[in-house]
Amino acid sequence: MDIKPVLLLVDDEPRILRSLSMVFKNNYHILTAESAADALRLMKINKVHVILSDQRMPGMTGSELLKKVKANYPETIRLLLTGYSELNAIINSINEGEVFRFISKPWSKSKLIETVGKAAQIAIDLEKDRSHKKTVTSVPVNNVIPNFMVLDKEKNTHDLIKKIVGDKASVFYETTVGEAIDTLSRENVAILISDLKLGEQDITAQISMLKQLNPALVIIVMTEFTDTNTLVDLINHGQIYRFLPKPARKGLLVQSLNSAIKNYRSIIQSSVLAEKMTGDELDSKQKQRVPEKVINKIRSLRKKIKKSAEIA
Amino acid sequence: MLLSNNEYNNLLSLPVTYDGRVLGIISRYQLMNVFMKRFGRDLFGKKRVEELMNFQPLILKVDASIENASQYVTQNMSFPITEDFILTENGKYRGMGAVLDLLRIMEGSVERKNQTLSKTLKHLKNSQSQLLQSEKMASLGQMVAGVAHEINTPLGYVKSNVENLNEVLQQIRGFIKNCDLLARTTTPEAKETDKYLALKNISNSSLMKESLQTYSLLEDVEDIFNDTLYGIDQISELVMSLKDFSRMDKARVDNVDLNDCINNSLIIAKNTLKYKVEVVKELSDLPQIRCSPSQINQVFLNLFTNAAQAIEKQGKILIKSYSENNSVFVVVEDNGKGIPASYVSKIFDPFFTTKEIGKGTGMGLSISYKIIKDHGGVIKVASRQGVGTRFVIKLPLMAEMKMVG
Repeated sequence: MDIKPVLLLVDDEPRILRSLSMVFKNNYHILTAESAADALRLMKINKVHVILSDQRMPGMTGSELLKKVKANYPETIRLLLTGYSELNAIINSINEGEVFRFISKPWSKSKLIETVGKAAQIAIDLEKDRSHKKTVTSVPVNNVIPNFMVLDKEKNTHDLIKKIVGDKASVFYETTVGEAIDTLSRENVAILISDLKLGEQDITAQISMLKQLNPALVIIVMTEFTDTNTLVDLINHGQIYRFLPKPARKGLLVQSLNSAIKNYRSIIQSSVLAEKMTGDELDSKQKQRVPEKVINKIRSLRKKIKKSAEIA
Repeated sequence: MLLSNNEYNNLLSLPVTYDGRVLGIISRYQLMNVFMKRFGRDLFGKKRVEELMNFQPLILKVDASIENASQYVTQNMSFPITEDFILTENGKYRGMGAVLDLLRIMEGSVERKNQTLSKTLKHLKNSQSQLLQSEKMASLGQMVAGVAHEINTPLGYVKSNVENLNEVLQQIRGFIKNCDLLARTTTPEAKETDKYLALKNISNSSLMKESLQTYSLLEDVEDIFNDTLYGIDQISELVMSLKDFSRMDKARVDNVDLNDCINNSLIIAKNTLKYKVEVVKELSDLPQIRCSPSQINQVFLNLFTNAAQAIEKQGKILIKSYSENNSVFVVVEDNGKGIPASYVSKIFDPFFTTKEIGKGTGMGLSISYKIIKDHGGVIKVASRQGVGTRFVIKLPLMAEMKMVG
C-alpha cells in the first residue's frame, strides 16, 4: 500500500477525538484539532485529504470551518458531524462548504468507516488526476454553455431561469419526473433546477435517483420549505450542488447558475469528479417513495446508457 | 316586530292619527282623568282630543331592531309607564306596541346573550389552558432537544469506544489462543512443527504485527475505559438533573433551596448556554422556602434561555441569590442587546414577543409572572438597549401560595 491518507478530525470534545482516532489510526495518518482555529493552523502546514468536523463548537462552527476549507483547500474532501443542528448551518455547509457527506451523531461505525474511506479514495484519485493533468495540456472547454432543465410546477421558475440564460443555451421545462427522464435521455442536459414538490408529490428521493443515473448532472434544488433531514438526504444520496429557498432572489440565482456552469466544466474534464458526485444508494424505505413508473423508466434508461457505453 | 293590534286589552294608550299620519297618543290614564274624576266629564268632556293627548309619543319604525327599539324606549319613556309606543312604516301609522312586551322580549334576549357569553367565557378559559399547555409543551420540547443534544456527544464516543474495545478484545483473544497453543508445545512429546506453527501465528497476529503498538494499544484501552466511564457519568448526571428538574417523583410543593433550582435549571439550559455564554454565579446561602420547585425551575429556565437569546455573539449572565428581610431574592442579569424602553412595560403581557414567528409563543414571561405572583412574590425587570437586562425575583420566606395548573 502507498502512503496513508491524511485525516483531520475536529471536535471540541477531546474524548470524541480520541475515540475516532482509535477507529482510523491503522489506515490513516491522523491529525486532531479541538477548535476550528486549530484545524486551520494544521491545514496550513499539512496536506489533508479528508476533514471530519463537528458542527457545534465554540468560536467557529463546523459549517464556517468547511466554508474556509472549501475556499482555501478545495481538494480536501469535507465531512460534517451533526447532532441536532439548525437548518441554516446545514444550508450553509451545502452552499458554501460543498460538504461531501453529513454524518449524524451518534454515528454507526461501519458506515463512518465506509464514508471516510470513500472520501479518502476520491481525494487520492483527484490528486493523481491533477498531477497527470499537469503533464498533459488540458483541452480548454471554457466557452461551453451547457443546457438547463427546470423541473417545477410553477412556470415562473422556468421563465426566470430562461430570462437569465437567454439564448445562449436551451432551457427545458418539465412538470413531472417521468417527462424529465424522457428529456434527460434525449437531450444533453447538464444542470437541473428542481423543486422538491411537484404539486402534492414529494420527489426528494427521485431527485437522488436522477443523480445516481447521471452523476455529472449538477442539481440545484429550489424549494419553499424543508427540514434538516431532507437536506441531509439530498446531500448524502443526491449530492445536490446548491440549495436555494423559494422565492429565489435573482442575484443569488445568477451566482448559483454561474458556479454550477463552472462546476459542470470541471466535472466533464475529470472522471474522478464525476464519480465523487455520486451519492450513496437509497435505502429501501426511501425507494418506496419513488413511483413504480419512474423506477421502470430509470431502469430502461440505465440499460440504454450501458449499451451506448459498450458501443463507445 | 310586534304589532299588538289584536291585544287592545294590553294597551295603555291609543294612537291619534290623521290620514295615516301619527299626530299623538292619548293614554287610559289621561282618559280616566276625564271620565272618572268628579266633574271631569263636565270640565273636559267637550274638549278636543288634541288638548289632552301627548304630541310627542314614542314612535318606532316597524323594521327597527328589538335592540334599537328597546334602547330608544328605555331612554325616552316616562315613569310611571302610561303610554305605549307607535309603530310606523314610511311615516304612516302601522300599529301599537306595548312597552312591557318589548321589555319581556329584551329580557329573553339578554338571557340568551348571557348564555352565549358564558359559553364564550368557557371557550376562552379552555383555549387559555390550551395555550398554557402548548407553552409548556414548547419549552418542554426545547428542553428535550437541548438535553438530547447534550446526551448525544457522550453517547457518541461511548458507543464508538465500546465498539473499539470489542475489536481490541477480539485481537487479544486471538493472541491468547496462540499463546495457549505455544504453551502446549513446551511438553517434551510436542512436535517441532506444532511449535513452529504456534510461533508463526503469534508473530503474524495483528497485535504482534504492530508489536511496537502493543504497548500503546493497552495504554489506549486504559484511556478509552476512562473516557467511557466519564461519558456514562455525564449521561447519568444529565438524567439525574432532568429528574430533579421535572420532579415527577417528588411532592408538588416542598421546602427547597432555590440555589438547587438554579443549578438544576442551568444544567438543563447548558446546551443553549455553553457556546456563547459565560455564566457567573454569586449564590449566597439561602434558607429553604416552601414552593412548587418544578414551577420555579420553569421560571429560571425561561429567564436563562431568554438571556441567552438576547446575547447575539458572546456574552455573560450573572446569577445572584441572597436573602433579606424575610424574602429570598434571585437576580438574573445579562449583557445582551436589551429591551427597547417602549417594550419594557409589555414584556409580561400574554402573547407579547419580539422573537421571530416560531421562536417564541410570547407566553413564557407572562407564565413566569403568574407563577411568581401565585407564590406571593414579585418579578421585576430593568433593561437598557445595548447594555443588558436584569430580572429580579423576590419570594417571601413564608408564602401563602395559590396553586396553579
